[in-house]
Amino acid sequence: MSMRNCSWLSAFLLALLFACASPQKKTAKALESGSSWAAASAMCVEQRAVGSLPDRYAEKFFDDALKEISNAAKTARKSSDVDARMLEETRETIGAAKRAVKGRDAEGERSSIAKLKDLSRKLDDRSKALGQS
Amino acid sequence: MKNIVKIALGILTSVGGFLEIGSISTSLQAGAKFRFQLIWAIVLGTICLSFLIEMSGRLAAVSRHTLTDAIREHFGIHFHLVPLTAQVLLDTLVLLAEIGGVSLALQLATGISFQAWAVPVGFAVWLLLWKGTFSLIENGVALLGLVTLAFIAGAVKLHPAVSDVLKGAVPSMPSDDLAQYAFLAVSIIGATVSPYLVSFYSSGAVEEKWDEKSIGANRIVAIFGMGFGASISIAVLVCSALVFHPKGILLDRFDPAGLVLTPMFPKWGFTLFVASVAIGSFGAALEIALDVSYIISQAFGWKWGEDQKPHESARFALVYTLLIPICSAVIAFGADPLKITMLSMALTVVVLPFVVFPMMVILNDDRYMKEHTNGRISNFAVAAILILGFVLAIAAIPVQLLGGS
Repeated sequence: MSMRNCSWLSAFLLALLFACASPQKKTAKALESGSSWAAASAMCVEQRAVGSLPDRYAEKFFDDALKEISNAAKTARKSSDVDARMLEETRETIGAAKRAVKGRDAEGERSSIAKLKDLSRKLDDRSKALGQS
Repeated sequence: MKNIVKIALGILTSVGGFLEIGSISTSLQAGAKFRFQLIWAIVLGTICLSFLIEMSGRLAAVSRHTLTDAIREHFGIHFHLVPLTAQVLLDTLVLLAEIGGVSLALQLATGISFQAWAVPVGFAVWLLLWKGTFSLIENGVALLGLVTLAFIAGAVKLHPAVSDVLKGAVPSMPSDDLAQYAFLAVSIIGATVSPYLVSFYSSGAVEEKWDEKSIGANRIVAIFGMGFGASISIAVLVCSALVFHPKGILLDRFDPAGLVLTPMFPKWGFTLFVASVAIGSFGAALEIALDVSYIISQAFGWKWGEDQKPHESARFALVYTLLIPICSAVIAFGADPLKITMLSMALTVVVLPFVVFPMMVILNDDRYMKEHTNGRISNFAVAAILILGFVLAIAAIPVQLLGGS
């Protein structure tokens, strides 16, 4: 087989592999990413509350987290409304955490941390369940 | 006494210059996702790097040739164009990553997007190369890089179970996501054994006029400098494994990385992290830009040397003057520094054999090395690690690029 044929065959196989990546697997990845951002956001609120992080970092962090979670929700929506809703809820909670941090609302921070940790656990469980099925 | 100072300075600068965006991000990702399971990749990469650094220093001390000089002279320019092109392309990719690394650190510190920082960072790198001397670049920035020792202090404060850390030094299968595990292993080896380190080291040895009396000091610096340096990479991985892994935080974006030292150092952790990334990546960017100028100038027989005024070695200065703005522009237009970093580190392992095997031929040639040719152990160790890394890279990179499994 010539080099040229080999290259075409490899390109075809790679394209085939890419096309065959199941939507379920993509959703599992999106949920895993959502779980990670929820946990990281909870940690960011905690660390900001004890004065370990500058405001500008926390603000940019939450903006990026919101963007990433929106992307993850968009991916999940293609295969499951339930999973997409869970990610939407995470996005709303991160938004609330951002407002609480900005307004120095200690009670809001505490409730956001608890809710984000809970959501992170749920998203992780769901991602693992999807990954195993 | 002078020799002891030289060795101490060599070890300190090796330690201070060890961490950069590649080693930090790969170690952080590995710890967050696979806990201590990828420590072996840092150990393996460091063993390989120590051998290669020792060899390139020995070559310079015995033959007064830089690595590039010797390869061009031995194989001819036509053959040499292959490893030269591979290394220039790879160095460019790594320079992109390092400029991106400094920019990301500044983004963490200021909240202003990394894209806005790429051009000022590139200008600062260029200015220091244009105005600075070799020893300022090698020693000054690397000594500032000792701030990265904060990761060791952080890891100690976390009290990791020593037996668990030691278990990580032995390869083991992950419970899931084998593709990402292999990709991270390859990226860690690539981040540790960047070819620029080897050619930069030999060019530096020639700039500093090493002779055969330097062989002993070179060996000590290669073993202890790289060994202590690797312990900082391991400390980054340990901090990430104990801070992020239990919470399920992954590091597919750089933002959460700013939290890695704050639980141990609530007041200074964030600043120490930002300073470590910024200084480490800035130092690496200086060395890589300089290395591209070195290898191109040496390959084409141009006058070269960082200690010369730019007008004395104009083509040498022109190379980095052209390269740095190109890399800054790519980052400024929005290329993701973290993705470039991970890809460039993995590609390093693919390219490495093409750069290192000609070097092994030279190191076994007694016309260059006299009675100081390579021993069997160093030949075998380097060849085995490179082949293993190459096979892993060929298998892991396509799968990871397609989303892992």
